[in-house]
Amino acid sequence: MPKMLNVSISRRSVLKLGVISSALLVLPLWGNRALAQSTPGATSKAAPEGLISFNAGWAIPLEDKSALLTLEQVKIKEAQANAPQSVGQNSTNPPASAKPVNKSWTDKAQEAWNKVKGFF
Amino acid sequence: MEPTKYFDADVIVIGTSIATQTVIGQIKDSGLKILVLEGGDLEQNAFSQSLTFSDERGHFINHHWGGHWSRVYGGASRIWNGFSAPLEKWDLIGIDGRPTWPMTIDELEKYYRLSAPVMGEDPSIANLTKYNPTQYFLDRPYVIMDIPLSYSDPKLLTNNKNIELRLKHNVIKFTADESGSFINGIWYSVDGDVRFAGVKKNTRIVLGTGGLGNAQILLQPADNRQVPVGNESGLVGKTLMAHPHVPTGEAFVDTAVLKKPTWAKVKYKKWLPAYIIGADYKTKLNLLNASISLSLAADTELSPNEKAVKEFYEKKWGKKLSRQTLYARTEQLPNPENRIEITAEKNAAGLHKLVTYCVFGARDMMSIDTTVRLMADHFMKNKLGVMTIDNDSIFLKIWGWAHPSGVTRFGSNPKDSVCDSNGRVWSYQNLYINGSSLFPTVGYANPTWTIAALGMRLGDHLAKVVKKNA
Repeated sequence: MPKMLNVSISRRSVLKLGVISSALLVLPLWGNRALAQSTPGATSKAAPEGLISFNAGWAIPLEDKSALLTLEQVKIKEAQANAPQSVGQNSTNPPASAKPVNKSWTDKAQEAWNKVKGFF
Repeated sequence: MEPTKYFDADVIVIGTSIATQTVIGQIKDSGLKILVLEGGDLEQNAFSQSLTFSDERGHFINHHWGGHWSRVYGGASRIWNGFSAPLEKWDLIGIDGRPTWPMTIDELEKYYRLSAPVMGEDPSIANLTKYNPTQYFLDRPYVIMDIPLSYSDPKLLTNNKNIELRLKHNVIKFTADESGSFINGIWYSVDGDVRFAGVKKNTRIVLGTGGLGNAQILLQPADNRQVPVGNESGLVGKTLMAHPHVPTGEAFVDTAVLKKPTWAKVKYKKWLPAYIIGADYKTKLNLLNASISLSLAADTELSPNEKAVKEFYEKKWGKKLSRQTLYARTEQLPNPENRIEITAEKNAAGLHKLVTYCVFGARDMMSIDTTVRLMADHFMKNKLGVMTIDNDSIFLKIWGWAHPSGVTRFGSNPKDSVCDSNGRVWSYQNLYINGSSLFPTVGYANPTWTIAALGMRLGDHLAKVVKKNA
């Protein structure tokens, strides 16, 4: 029979583990980076070459991105200038793409905890 | 009417689709007495349509499998058209633990060439079978086939004096003799009236009732034995495969990408541009066989984003780009969890109904994703095009095209296959199968052309065997 490793965990160790785990869970949220995996630079190891692509987006070289975004802004302005004024522009409802109100880190931590609870 | 006591024939052919008409085509002039049993009538009716309903579970919309399976003279071949491409050597040789085909690509290519006219095509389309496997990306188009409608005309068979056609004869199951080596009887029904007829020892039976139908018959419980006749291997109904299909995005491409490929020297009639990854790279990258086709996108106004991308790359590369839609088709990895089973309930013809389980796996979908990404990289590096990759579509909206395959697969060893290399059920000397149910792996394209090729090959084999015995 293989020799079993005799390991005992004290209550203090369990508490330490809990505190460290919670910190690891919350720390990335302070930096607003936990859910920013698809943003260039968010990952520690950037792809050395090749194409970048976002969900349903164009697969393009990184060096083309800024020029493309600039050109897209021009095209958006052209489209807006050519578009007839719609009733929706006077609406008090925010557009779907409006940025959400910034949340405090405590709100984010609470959301993260709710997610963890959701696993069970 | 007194039920038939014996089906007196040299060859009994069950089914009238292209899977069996190609077999008959090779033996009809040999003077053999051929009896053809078709479950449906000359036209579809409510009774025959009810026979293909099954309890369908998996990545398929309801009644998808049933909709690709017809109990009518001519079978599914009668309504079929589609995008064909031949299998390649890589599909047959057991890459990465996949089951192997019990035949070489040379033999298959020979029968692709012979069967191309049966599919209404020029024999040169068989040239697509072989290519330079070291190529990274290869333009290997689909041949868009329309099978001649003559397959729905029974005179093609009944004009031959040695062929007798009996319609509305639904085969339910077989019985075996005491030695367990020969089929000696067939249970069948006519308009729901169940009957039995004996089969002589020297009569060959060819079963070709569809990718699911072949297995359904071999899964029917026997009255006097534990194991259904034909499922001695225990593998009938296992490793059901089809073809995951999904639109993967849009592209602006150089029109050179859409030109007819010249490497295979094919006289194309109707074709669709498509790209695959070469065999060596597929192996290296652990990919399944996937193909990405391009078709002209709908003529809708471009969004500002699309306008920007098109204008940017047209200017950068100094060429006009054409807007295309990309569509992926891939093989499905054989998986025993994907299967068909019979239920306790019987259909109107007296066969136990089917339940189908067919779910795509990680490698099926990731092979599409990787192939598309490599294609994007290849196009961009060679200034051939720019494309989107729609993650949601590939992974969440994927669906299947029901080309039921693999459920009575053939092989070189009775331990891991239902049929031998000729499609003969290992346990029986006189029972053969043809159809996509034989395929150990399924490639990425529609199976009908390969079914026709295997049918002609089986016909040649039967002609030799019967002549030898005579």
